[in-house]
Amino acid sequence: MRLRLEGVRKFFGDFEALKGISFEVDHGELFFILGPSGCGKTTTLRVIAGFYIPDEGRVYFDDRDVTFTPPYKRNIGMVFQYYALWPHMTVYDNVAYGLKIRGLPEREIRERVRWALELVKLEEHAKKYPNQLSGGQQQRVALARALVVEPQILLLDEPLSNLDAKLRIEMREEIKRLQNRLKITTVYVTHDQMEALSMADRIAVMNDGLIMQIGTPVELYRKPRNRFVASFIGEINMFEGELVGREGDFAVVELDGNTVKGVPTAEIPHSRVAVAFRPEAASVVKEGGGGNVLEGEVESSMYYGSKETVFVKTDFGMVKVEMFNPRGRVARRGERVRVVFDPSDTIVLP
Amino acid sequence: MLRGLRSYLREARSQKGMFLLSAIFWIFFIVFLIYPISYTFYRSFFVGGKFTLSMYKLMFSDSTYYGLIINSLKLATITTVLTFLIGFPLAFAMVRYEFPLKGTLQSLMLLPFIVPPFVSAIGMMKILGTYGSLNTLLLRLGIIHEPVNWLGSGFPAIVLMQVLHLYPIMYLNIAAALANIDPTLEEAAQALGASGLRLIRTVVIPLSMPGIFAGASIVFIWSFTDLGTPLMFFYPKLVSVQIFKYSTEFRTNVMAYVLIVVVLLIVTAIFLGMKLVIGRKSYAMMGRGHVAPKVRRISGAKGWLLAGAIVVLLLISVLPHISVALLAFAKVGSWYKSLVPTAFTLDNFRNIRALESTEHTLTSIKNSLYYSLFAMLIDIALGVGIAYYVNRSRLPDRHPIDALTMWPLALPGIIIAFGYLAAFHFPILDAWRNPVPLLIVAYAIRRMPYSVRAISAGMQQVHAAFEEAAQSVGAHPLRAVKDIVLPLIVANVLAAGVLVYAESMIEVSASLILAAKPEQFPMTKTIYVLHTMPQGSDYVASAMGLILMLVIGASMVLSSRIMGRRMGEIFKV
Repeated sequence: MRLRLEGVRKFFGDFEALKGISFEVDHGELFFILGPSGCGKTTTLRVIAGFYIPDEGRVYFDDRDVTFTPPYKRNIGMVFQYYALWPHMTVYDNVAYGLKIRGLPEREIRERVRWALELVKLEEHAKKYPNQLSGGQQQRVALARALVVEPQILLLDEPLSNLDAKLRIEMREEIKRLQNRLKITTVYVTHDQMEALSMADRIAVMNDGLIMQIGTPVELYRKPRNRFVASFIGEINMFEGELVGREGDFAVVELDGNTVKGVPTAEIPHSRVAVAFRPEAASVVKEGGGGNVLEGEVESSMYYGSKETVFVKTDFGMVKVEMFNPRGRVARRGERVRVVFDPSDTIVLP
Repeated sequence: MLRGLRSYLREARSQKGMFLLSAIFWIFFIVFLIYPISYTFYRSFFVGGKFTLSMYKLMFSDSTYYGLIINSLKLATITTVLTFLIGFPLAFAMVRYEFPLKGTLQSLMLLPFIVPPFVSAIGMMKILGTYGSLNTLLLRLGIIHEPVNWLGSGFPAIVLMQVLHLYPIMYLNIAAALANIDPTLEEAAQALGASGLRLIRTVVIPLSMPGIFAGASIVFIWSFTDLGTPLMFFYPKLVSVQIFKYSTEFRTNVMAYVLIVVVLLIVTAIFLGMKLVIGRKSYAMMGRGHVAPKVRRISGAKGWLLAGAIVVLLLISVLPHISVALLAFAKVGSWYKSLVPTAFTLDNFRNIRALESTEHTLTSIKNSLYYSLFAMLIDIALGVGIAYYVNRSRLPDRHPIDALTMWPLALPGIIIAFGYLAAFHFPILDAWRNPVPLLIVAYAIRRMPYSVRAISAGMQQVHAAFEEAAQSVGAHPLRAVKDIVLPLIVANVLAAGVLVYAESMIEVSASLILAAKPEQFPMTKTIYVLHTMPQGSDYVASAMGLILMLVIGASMVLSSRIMGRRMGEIFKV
């Protein structure tokens, strides 16, 4: 099942929650919507589910227009942020409910519930009530309940945000494994960038009711097309500069007297630009070094064993550098140093 | 604007069920609330189709009319002040002190409020009457030598009955406010040197003002528009009694409409004033929940003294009820110049059947059971529907609907009943020819706020995602409500149902005003009619009163079992 949104807008009173959202999700793809709270990601998910009807735009499942189809006719599976397990039903009844609605014979219901509970490794707990389960187990029941009806699209709304850190990482792998095995088109909403980067086939980054960029995790991390995406995903050093020319694929930018080169990731309409590079793409040296060079004074330096993190004070701001596998302390507080980074690891943003 | 309208239409389209629900509520409210009240207004201003203020001029210039209003205001003021004088210390003791029997006494606190003074007035007369228990006791003790007329004109007796009935409401509202006061505020005042009465006067009372105003306005409105108690004491000089008398001449008597409009305006002003004060005075309480309220322990003799005082208060308030119970088993004429009845019998209950042929006594019991059942069903339907709508709908009319639902809290029974009597003369709804449907709706409307609140309390626990989860796996929204929502709020629905049933059984004003033919009377009206008949009928009336009290007592126990601690919430503003 392919999913397509075309120019979806949604108002709540005067507040425009979605300002024209379009994207397509391929069959079997694990698609993430990532963004800060209030950006419209949950609203988008609820439009896909059918709980909101957009004020403008269309929603298609394959080529079927489902914009006005109520949720219960969409054949979706949805996992809610707080799981929304029905407290008056056992685990078995929670999972079986969707099948009973569909009027399946009792025997088939039993088999499919067993299949779903085995899928999430909860076959032992069928007779328990939700309040007798741990957070992680409740999460699995919610997943089983959504999957048992063999939905065409699986929707997950911040499914891991209420679990502790360790369990969250375990569940990431589990969900990824299930999704891979069932090859079910999935839309997954989260504000956790690590979740998105580690699990997604593709990610849509949203902010303020708009999609800022859609791409694979590598594309978003390596080639962010705007400042929001660059700073929202991962850490980045970013400075304002003036575009002064081009050298092949590189843009040449004047940064307060320093000249640096970088790769433009989007159309650059004017000369005010931002130069950005990741902390781990740079290194600190005492002298020499090719490519882009910025000079400064070490503000602080912390040694973590696997890496050393150095903050360097330059004329135009603080630069963070992370050097992995350090053989000894690289920099000490107060030293004059040079921050060097490769032009191909540097991006220039409008 | 255009976008707003479009958005509304889209919303209505995505919530067709909600749209339909809203339409049903509006029709119900327009027909049974807005129309009859508007009609009453209309009749008071238009005589013979022409607008005139002459009737209002007459009312405000003739002391026989405005005297009624003033007398009723006097009654309500005295009752309110007295309930405050009992309710405040009581609430203060219950919230701030730990003493023997506290838990038990706390759970008994609502007891006097359960049975309306209408029924227990008969019992009170046997205690305070010229040849009643009190005089007998005092004569025997030699304190007095001639019987004293304690009931006086009836006015003091009405005050007494109302105070004994209403102080729990005052107590409940003040206790809630006191429990919310941040103890650090008092500590701050103490640090500045305030203590004792000064602390109470300058800090505690001002901070508990929201609760005091809430309690006072309920008590005031209740007392001001009470019909049952004055009727039982045959006291005529109150506006509620006058409106009742006019109810037989509603076609021609314009003054009735004028009196109702004036009463309605006074009551509305008090209610809105209270809302305003509460809204403005609900001070932000810092650190709530972080500091446990300070409860001081009173042990030993002092503690028992406090417990004893509250026990005496409770005993006095249930004395009339006990007296009704005694009277129900007393031989006719056996409670005369004696402390308690001298001979007991079951004849009074047998006479309920014996009087069936003339007074339709048995029929009235049956009627009450049926009317209350239908009122309960209406209120459950409305309660579930409105609670659901107000908590779930995204349509913009949920606030007006919520407000209309709560309106009957400020709408005295006499006004609703008279409005129905005057306004409904249609082929299907004719108050004169067949008042039964309107009586049932009046019962339902009067208790609707309680029903909606009780069910809303449950709805708030049911997160919308529960239903959405059901819809996402294929359940139609209605099916989701049936399978998911209803099972989760069933306790609240039961509690609301039981409550409405009991409250409908003891409803007085609509019963007295609307029921016209003896075979249609509910129990309360039959009790009143028996009470107005010569000696002896009071004993049968008491037997019926006892049956009522038992039904109500059982219902209250049942619903508070179901609702638990949230029971008190329903009776607050």
